[in-house]
Amino acid sequence: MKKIKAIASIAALGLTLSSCNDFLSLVPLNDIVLENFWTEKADVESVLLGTYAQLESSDAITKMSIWGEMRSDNIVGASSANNDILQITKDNILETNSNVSWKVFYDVINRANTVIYYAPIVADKDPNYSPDELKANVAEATALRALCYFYLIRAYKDVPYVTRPSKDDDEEFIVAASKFDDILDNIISDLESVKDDAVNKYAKEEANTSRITKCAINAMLADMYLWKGDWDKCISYAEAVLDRKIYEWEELKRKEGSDCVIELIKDMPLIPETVAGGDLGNAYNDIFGKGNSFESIFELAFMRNQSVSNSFVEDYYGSNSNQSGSLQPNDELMNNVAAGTNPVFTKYDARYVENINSQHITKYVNDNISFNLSTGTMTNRSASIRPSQNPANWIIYRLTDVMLMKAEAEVMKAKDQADVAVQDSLFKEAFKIVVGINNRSTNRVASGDTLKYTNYSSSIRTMEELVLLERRRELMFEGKRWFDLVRVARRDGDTKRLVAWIIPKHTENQSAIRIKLADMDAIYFPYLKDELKVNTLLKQNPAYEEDEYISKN
Amino acid sequence: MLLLRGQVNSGTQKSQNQSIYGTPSGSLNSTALPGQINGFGTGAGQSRAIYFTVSAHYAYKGKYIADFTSRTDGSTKFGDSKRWGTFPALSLRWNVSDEDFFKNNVPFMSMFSIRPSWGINGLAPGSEALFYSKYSAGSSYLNQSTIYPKNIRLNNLQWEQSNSWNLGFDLGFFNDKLTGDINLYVKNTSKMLMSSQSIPTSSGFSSLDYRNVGKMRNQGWEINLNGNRLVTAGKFSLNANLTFANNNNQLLEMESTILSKMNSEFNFNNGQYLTYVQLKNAFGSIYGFKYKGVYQYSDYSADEIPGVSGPNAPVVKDKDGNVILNQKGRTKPMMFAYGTTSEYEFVGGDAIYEDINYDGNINELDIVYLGSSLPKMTGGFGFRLSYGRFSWNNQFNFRWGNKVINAARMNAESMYNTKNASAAVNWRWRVEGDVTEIPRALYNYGYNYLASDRFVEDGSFLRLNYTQISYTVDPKVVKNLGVSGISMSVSMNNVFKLTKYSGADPEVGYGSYGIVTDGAQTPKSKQVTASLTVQF
Repeated sequence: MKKIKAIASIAALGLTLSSCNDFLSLVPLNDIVLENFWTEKADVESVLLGTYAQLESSDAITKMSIWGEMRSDNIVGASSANNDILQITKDNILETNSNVSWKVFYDVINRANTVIYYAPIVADKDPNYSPDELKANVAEATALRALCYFYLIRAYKDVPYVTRPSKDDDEEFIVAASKFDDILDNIISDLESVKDDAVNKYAKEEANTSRITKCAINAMLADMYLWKGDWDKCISYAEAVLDRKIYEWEELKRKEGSDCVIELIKDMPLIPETVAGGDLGNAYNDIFGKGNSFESIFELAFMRNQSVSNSFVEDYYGSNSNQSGSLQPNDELMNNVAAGTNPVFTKYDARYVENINSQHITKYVNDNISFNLSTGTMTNRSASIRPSQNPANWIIYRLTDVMLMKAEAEVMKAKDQADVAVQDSLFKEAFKIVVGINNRSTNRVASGDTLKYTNYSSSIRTMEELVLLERRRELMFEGKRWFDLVRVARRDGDTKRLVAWIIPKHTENQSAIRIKLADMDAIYFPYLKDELKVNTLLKQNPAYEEDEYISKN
Repeated sequence: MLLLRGQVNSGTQKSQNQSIYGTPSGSLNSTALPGQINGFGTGAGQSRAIYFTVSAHYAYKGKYIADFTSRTDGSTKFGDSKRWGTFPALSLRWNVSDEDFFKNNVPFMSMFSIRPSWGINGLAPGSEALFYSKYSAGSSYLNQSTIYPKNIRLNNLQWEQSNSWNLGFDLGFFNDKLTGDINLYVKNTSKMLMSSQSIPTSSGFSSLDYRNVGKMRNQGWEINLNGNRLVTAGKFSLNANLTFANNNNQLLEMESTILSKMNSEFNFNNGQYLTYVQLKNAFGSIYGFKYKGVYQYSDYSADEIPGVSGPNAPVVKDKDGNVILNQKGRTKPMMFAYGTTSEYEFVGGDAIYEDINYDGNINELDIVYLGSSLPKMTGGFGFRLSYGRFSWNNQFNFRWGNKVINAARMNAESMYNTKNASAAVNWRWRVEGDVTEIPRALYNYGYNYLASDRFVEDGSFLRLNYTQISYTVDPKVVKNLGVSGISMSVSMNNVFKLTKYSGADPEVGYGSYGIVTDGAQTPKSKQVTASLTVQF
C-alpha cells in the first residue's frame, strides 16, 4: 500500500511538472512571435515591404549621401552642420565619427535575408502562395540585399558578407570582412540568377518605380559591371533598360495619344524641360517634384500626408521653414554661371537653376519650379519650396544615370580597341548619349547640339572626362559623385585625378588631404571604432589605423 | 524534520493611454473632455513563476545541527530547456563548546561553534519573453503596413548562479563577557547576466537583450566583537563593541569584446577619469595622469633668471632629468596629444603632467594607476560607559585606505568657465616666475585640469556617528510622584569626523564597476535630540 502511494505521488509530481511547463509557456501579448508568423503570403509581403521601409529611413538615405557624395567636389558643409558631418565634408574622417556606422544597411540586409529564408517555408504552408510569387519575392529581396552590399563595398571596400538571417544567439555574429571583388562577384551572380524571376510590371502604378522590377535589376547589373570593368556586359544591360523604357514609351503613346509629352532625344525617351514652348522646369517637376516619373527606374517612395517623410532632404538640403540645410553646394558650382565661365554649368543649363539657388541646394527641396533661360539670363523664376514633412522620393536609379553608365563603358571599351574606326564609332555612341542628355537640359534640341564632338574626340581621357562631367551635372546631389571618383581611382590604380578634382574645394589642410588621399585605401571609409571593439575579426582599413604610436621626438 | 513548500505567481498588466490637448480647463483631466486627441495606445504583459522548496532540519543532542534546503524555480523568462533552475543550500553547525573535551580543556571559552555553509542562488533577467523571435510593425511603405524582425532570440540564456561559501565562528569568552563572530565568505557568480550586450552590427542588430557573460568573485571577511560589562568598578561599567570588514569584487572571466565596450577611451578632454575594468583586479581602480605642479617659466634656462626663464619650463627631459636638445642645440617643447586634433603646446603656468615614457608628449600612454576606490577596511566601534543611573553611549564608523575623486574641488579650481571658483584660485600662476601649485586661468581652453592625482584624495575617515547621555531617575523617587518611570537623554548624530579629505564629506557610495566621484554631496547633518520619557 505504501509503495502504491509513493508511486502515485511521484506520478502526480511528474504530472504537475509537465503541466507547469505549459503554465510557464507564455506568448508575449504585445508582439507577433515567430511561432505564429510566416504562415501566409501576406506575411512575406509585409516583411519585404519592411525591408524597403528601412532602406528609406532617413538614417539610410543619409548614409547614401555621406558615402556617395559628401566627400566629393559637389558639397561643402554649412556652418550649421554638426561637427561629425563637417568633418566628413572636410575629408577629416576618424573611426570614432558616428556617421561611419553601417548598421542601418545591415538591418536592411538582415530583413532581406529573413525574407529569403522564410519565404520558401511559407510556400510549403500556404497553397495560395504560387511558385511564381515566391520567386518574385525572393528576387526582390535578393536585389535589395545586393544593392545594400553594393553601397557597402563602394563605401568601405571590404565588409562582412552575411547571407543568413540573424535569428538566434546560436549563430556566430563575428564575421571577418570579405574582399571587394568577391562580394561584387557574388552579388552579380545573385542578380543574374534572379533577374528573370523579378516582376516586370506591378498592378499598382507607383510600385513600378518604387519596388524592384526586372528593369531595376538590369540597371543594378549595368552599374555593377561598370565597377567590375566588364564593359560589354554593362552596355548590354544598359541597353536592356533602354529597350524596356522604349517599350513603355510606346505603350504610353498608345494610351495617351497626343497628350504624351515624352520625346525621343537622341534615341532616348526623355521628359522634355519645356512643353509646347512654355517655361522650363517640366523635367524637374516630373522627376523630382512629382516623383515616380517615366524616367525613373528605382526610387524610394514617400507618400504625401503620411507620418514618414524624407527628413534627410529637410535636414541636409532645406525646407521652407529652414532654407539652409547642413549642406551647401561647393562654390565652384556657383561662380560665374551667368558670365558663362563656370566649369560645370553653362548659362543655358536648366539644371543649375533647378539644383542651386543662392547658396542652397534645391534639388528635391523644390516641389515645383518654372523659369526662362532663353536669353541666357534667368527670368520669370517661380518656385514652391516643400514644407517640412517633405515627401520627395529618393531616386536610386533613373534612365539618364544608366545611359551615362553605358556611355562610360563605351569610352572605356574604346580604350582596348586598336582599330581607329571601331574606336570612333564607340566614341560617337557615347557622345550621342551625353549630348542627348545635355540637349534636353539646355533646351536647344531644335537649334542644334550643345556640345561639339570634335572638342572631345581627341583622346580617351577627354571623352571619359566629358562623360564624368555630364554625370556630375545630371546626377548632382543624388549621392553619386564620390562613387564616380572612387570608380575612376580604382580604374586608374591611383588617386591623382580624384585628388586633383576635390582639392580646390578644401580651403584648409590642403597638403594634409593631398598626402592622406595619395593612399588608395583612404578613399574608402574607416570601420566604426565600436564595431571593431565587438568584431575581433575585423581589421581597420590601414589608412585609418590609429596613430597611437606617433613618435614626436 | 522535512518541509515541502510551493508557490505559484501569476501577473498580468494592461495599460491604456490617451492624450488630448486643447481641453477647456487645465485643472480637469478626464479623458472624456472635449479636445484634440493626439495619441492613444494600449499595452499588455504577462508573467508567471513557480517555485518549490524542500527543506530539512536535523539536530543531534543540540551539538550537531544540519540544515538543507533546495529550491526549484521555474520562470517564463527562459525558454523550454533552460526554464527550471534548482538551487540547493546546506548549512552545518557544530557547537564545539558543548563537547566535554572542550569544556574540560578550554575553560575560559564559554562558547565556540563552527558554522560552515554553502549554497547556490539563481537570478533571472529583468525582461520577459527573451527566448521568442519577435516581430513588430514598422513604418508603412507605399501606403502598406510593414513588419520587421525585432530581436535575436536568446536560446542560450540561463539562470545566473552564485555559489557562496561561508565559514563562520561564534565565540564567547569569560562567561560571555566577550562575545563575537567571525565570517569568511567567497561568492562566485557564474553565467553573469548583463543586459544590452553589443554584438557586431553586421548582424543587423546592435545588441543582444541579455547575455550570460562571465564570472565574478566577491570575497571578504567580517569580524564582530562585543564586550558586555567589560570593566566594572563599583557603580562604573564599560560595554564596548567593535566590527570591521573587508570586501572586494573582481571579474574572473569575461569576453574581451564585452570588456573593451565597458572600458572608456581617453578622449583628450579635461576632467575625464577613465573607468577600467580588468580581469582579476578589483573594481573601482582610478586611472589618470600624475600631476607635478605648475611650470614656472615658459622659457628654459639651466639657471633661473628671475622673471624671464628658469629650469622649471615645459621642455622635454630624459629619464635622468636631463634636458633633451635637438640637432641645433635647442630644447624641445612639451606637447599634449601630439598629432591629434587636440594638439597643444604647454607654456609657463600650465599644469605639469609627468611624462611617464619620456617621449615629450602627454597622451594616453602617460596615464597610470592612481589608487582604488575600494576601502582596505571598513567598520565601526562603540562603547558605553555607565555610572549608576547615568550612561554615555558612543558609536563610531570608519573607512580606511580608499581614494575619492574630489570633482567638486576640480570644478571649483578649473578656471575653465564662468562658474563659481574656490578661493584657492587666488594663488594661481599669473606671471613668469610665479611658484605655485595652481595653474593659470584659461577660459574654455587648455588642459589644466586633466584627470590627474591632483584631485584624487585619500577618503579615509573616522566619524562619531552617534553619542548619547541618558539618566534614569531612581524608581523609588519616581513612585512617590505617582508615575512608573522617568528617563531623560540628550543625543547627537554626526558629531565629528576625522579625515584628511578636503571636500565636504568623504563618505561617498562605492561598490559598482565605476570609480568614486564626489560632486560636493550634501554632508550629513548634525542633529541634537533631547528627550524626556515619563511612564505612567
